[in-house]
Amino acid sequence: MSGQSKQQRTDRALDALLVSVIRLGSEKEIDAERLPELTKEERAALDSLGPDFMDRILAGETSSCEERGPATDCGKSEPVLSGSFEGFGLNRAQEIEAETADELERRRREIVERKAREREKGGRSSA
Amino acid sequence: MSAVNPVVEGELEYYLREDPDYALRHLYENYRLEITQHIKWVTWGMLRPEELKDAFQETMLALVQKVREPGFDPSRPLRMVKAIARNKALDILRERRRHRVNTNHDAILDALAENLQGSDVAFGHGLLSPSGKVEFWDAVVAIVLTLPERQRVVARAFIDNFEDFGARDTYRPLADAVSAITGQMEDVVAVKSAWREAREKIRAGLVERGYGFIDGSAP
Repeated sequence: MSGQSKQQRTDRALDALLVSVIRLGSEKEIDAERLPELTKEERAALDSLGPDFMDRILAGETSSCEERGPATDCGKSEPVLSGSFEGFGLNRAQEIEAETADELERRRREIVERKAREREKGGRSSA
Repeated sequence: MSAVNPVVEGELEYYLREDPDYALRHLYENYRLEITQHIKWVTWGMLRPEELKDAFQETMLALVQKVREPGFDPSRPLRMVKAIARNKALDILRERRRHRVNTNHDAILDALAENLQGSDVAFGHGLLSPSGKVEFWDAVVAIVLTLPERQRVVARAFIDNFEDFGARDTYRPLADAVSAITGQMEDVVAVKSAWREAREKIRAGLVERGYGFIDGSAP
């Protein structure tokens, strides 16, 4: 590093510090409230997955961009589920979201009740 | 403050053990925004909206596959999801933006040691407590995310290719790295200027937050 001015050495040290902090700390987690907000366009892209996205991938119906082959230009805006929501109005999408929320709540109650029954059975049998 | 709420982790782990499909739906309904925000943070906002969506989709596909593997361990599920999301995000950054993302820490240690040794900056940082270092990292990332897009791209290329730069030959290879991302011929002077501006904003931001050692003041 001989021949460098003091300012150059300071700049280089700061560069190295920033690199070490960012590269070596790249797997740290950040609190959720400090995460960057999504823009309107980013939210719209996420929403384009559709309200029954999970139904499809749990049923194994959705292929990833990679599985569509090397010729597929994954950079283009080509929704994986293209055509799935044609003709769906906003009201229908809202109905599906409400149905999904209801279904989730129903399943959650089932799980909790089943667990409570198992605990009760286990308590009686050990008495 | 813990980055991941242990109550949330416990609840998700419970659901994964009891009913994996329900747990995955619950995760999607309640955490898809947070997961996508995490992807945006990992990539410094460099992915286009469709790419963010694709990274999220790849994450969920990989997660479904993982959950269905025999012997799947549901411990710390949100941390696991974010690790998967991070890898998928970096894959897309590498493949679609032709951005070299080097996650090999060993490759840079020599370059870092050479430039940090004996410096006031390294000394000041070394005096920080472990939690102080976390806060410092937090501050650096927060400032980086406020940089204009052009400066963020150049800064990211600089940081991810640092070990390739010599003390006397930094900006030509940096311009090449930025060219690979933007797909355009990048002017060395313009790239140098962008990095210097980014670095000055980071420096000023850190000093403003009380990290005077960045400027040679007492830590």
